[in-house]
Amino acid sequence: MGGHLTATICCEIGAHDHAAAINAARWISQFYSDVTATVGNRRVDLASGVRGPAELKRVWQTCLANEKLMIGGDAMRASLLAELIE
Amino acid sequence: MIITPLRLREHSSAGTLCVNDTGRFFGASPTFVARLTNDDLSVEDEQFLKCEGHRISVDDKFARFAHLYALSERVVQPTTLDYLILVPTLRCNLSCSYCQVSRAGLRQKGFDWTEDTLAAVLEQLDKLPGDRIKIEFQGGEPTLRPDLIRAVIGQCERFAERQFVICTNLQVVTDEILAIFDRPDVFISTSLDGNAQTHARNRTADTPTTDGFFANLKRVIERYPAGKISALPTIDPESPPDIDALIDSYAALGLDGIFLRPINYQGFARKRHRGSREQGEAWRNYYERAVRRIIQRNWQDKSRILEETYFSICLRRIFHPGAERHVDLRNPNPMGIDYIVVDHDGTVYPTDEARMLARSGVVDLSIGDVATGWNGPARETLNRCSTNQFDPACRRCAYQPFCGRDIIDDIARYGRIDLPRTETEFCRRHLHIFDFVFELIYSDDPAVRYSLARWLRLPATPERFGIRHQ
Repeated sequence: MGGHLTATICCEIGAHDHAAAINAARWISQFYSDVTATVGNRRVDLASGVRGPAELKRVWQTCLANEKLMIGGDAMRASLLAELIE
Repeated sequence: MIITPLRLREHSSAGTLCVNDTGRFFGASPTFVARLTNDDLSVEDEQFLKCEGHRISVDDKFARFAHLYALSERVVQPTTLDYLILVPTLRCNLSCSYCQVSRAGLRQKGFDWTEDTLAAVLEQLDKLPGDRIKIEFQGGEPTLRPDLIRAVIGQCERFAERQFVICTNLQVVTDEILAIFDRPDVFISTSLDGNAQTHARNRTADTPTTDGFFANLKRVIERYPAGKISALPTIDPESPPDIDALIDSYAALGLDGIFLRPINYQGFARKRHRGSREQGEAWRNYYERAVRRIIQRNWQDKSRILEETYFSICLRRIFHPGAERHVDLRNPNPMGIDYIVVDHDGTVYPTDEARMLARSGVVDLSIGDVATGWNGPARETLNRCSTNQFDPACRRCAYQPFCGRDIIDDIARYGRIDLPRTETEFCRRHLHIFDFVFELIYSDDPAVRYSLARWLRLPATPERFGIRHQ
């Protein structure tokens, strides 16, 4: 990312969220180009050159929630599309 | 009970934007998102989701079919060919610096349809099964061959619904051409980069040519009713025109729609405007300022409604699924099915950009020719990648139902289609524009709501466009 950082924060990762967190950390900078994330042991370190700490935390929570919703969402999506094709 | 799959995006105005596969959306609080992902929804949450079509009882067939119908509007494939872009000649009487098709010179031989090509085009028109047709005459400058335009139009009399768009630089408008324009089913699309100085910079070059264009543009505007003529600018992002001057140029001529279009990285532009491969922050800022300025002007002068055409297309992609047929932003985006391009030599391309790529010598993406057909392996190969539904980035994107897939654009810019979506200009551009659209959807400014309502062709201005849930 380079340049001046406006926020660096650390968020804890729940015991059941590790897989989703790895995906969220991988994708977050693709959808929010100012944000970087690194997953460690039960924690993620986040940095932004644009946002403040509170906003950065919300972005992370949204990305994490998006990944968690995908787990059940993809199966339901496939089921609905299959029903549509029938 | 099932909750239809939602995708999320953190948004400066909406909060956490939640969108399902049919495009229904709402702005939510972080606490709601936590309840949703922890399977801890309140009674109020469940009621809200049910009312908004996000929560369906398993035994509620009506709600389920309603959801499936809405889903079908987002994913249905067109099946009938009813839109043709025809290039009767590649010759042109101008030489614009950013010509996307590297046009041929006015007196060059071998760049017009032959009699055989015309016969094949007319035969294909006869074979079309539907009762509606849209034909866009592109070039070169198509009015150099009014005889070919007339022959095509004459072959289309059997279609109950027909529309012909002649894309012309309006440099030469003879009585013969006017007679074609006079038809009520013929529309004129031209280029207008701004005031005379701006228009001359990359297009007309000298004063007599520039004056000739503006005289002809005024002539046809005075001759025909509103809506018959549209114009669009090509903007050099490295030196864009003053926004008010550009809007004034359009407004003064009675043109209400402005399609803010940066130089397309095709044809001559690949060499003469290399920076057009990617549009950066400067262009995006310019674009936002222009749309906001149009909103201000609409609010100050309610006697007319100006609009930025692409913004309106994106807005209607959100609110009017299935109604918008803009072929550069749709999903799925099948190639050579419902529209084709027939070039000056009879070659068939899936899109106009594909024609430009071939003309630029980058890659031949032709799918056949008008005499022998285009239902072959080339088309099949392109159509394996015509949807955004299964792309790993698009699967995570809240804007997937509204967005599109344009593999020709990827090939044009990067020479490949397997770049991660989010690393493409197409994705960056549309992430930005949909962020911007939702910023305005969730704006409390009455001036913004006034313009959005007009652009959506609503009879009145609603109190809000986007709902929220805490």
